[in-house]
Amino acid sequence: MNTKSDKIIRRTRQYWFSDGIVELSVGSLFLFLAAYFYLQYVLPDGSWLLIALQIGFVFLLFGGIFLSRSLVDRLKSRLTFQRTGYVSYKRASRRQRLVSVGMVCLVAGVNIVIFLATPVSVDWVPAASGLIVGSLWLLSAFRVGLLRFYLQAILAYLLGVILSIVGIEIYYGLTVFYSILGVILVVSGGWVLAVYLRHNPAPEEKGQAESMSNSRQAG
Amino acid sequence: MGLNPQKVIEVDRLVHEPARLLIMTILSAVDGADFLYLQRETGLTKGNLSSHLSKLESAGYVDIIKTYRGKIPLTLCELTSAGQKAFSKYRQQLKYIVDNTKG
Repeated sequence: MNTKSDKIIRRTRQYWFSDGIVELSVGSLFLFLAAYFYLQYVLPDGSWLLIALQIGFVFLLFGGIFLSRSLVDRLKSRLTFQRTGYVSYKRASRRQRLVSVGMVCLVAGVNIVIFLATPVSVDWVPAASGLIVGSLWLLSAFRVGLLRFYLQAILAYLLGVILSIVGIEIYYGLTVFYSILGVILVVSGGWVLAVYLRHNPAPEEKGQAESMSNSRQAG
Repeated sequence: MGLNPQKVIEVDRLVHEPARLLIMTILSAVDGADFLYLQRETGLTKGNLSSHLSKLESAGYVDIIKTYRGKIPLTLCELTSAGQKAFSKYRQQLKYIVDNTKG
């Protein structure tokens, strides 16, 4: 009984990710970050644009997060809620917040140890990024229990480590890291969205299809 | 330890009904869900779902809020704190019964 109700609760939590919109949004944010790091890589030292980008990183990052959140809300309002219903979720419980903080501290600690222990610490920046992104993704995977999230988290870890071992320039490494991960998330989210839209036609499309089948039967 | 028959009798029948139990399980996982979502997840007809929700609302277990999201009307259902308590108690009682009737 408890197992069945646990499954229902988990399924309800998974609903937020059932349309792939969150992955599309996070993927777009990663592609935006890739473009940012690419500009850092190609712009000559001392150029005013490079300085402006470095100063504005925090604003760009938070602006990007804000935009991607608003994109999720708009897309869900247009596509999801009218098809399969609206659900609002509870804020994370105290225990969940403690787990998140603990995980962030652990990841930060591991990163500090890596940086201190490695002579050419800068080479490990993609791996550190992989660790941060992968851990956040893994946390989501634990909460909602979606297999594709586990795979994406593992991929983020592996990609970061591989790019660090290859030893390419820091900004180029970050560009490649966020580009690959961004494309994977956009493709995965797009595919999930396409499947979702196919299985859940909009109310007017559903009405048209039903009336067509009724008229065929009558004819 | 044997099963106390009183615990079986004490089970809240309003929650125990399968459709209402399903509704309460879904609502326990979220802050709120609209009528369409509940209808799709439970597989109930509009009339049936309305009837179960009304019973839960009368018992003070569910709040039904008629609102708008943008220009679209929305019937939002939320589990009240009394509903959360009743649901938790029901789960504990059921666990107790299951644990004490294992062959």
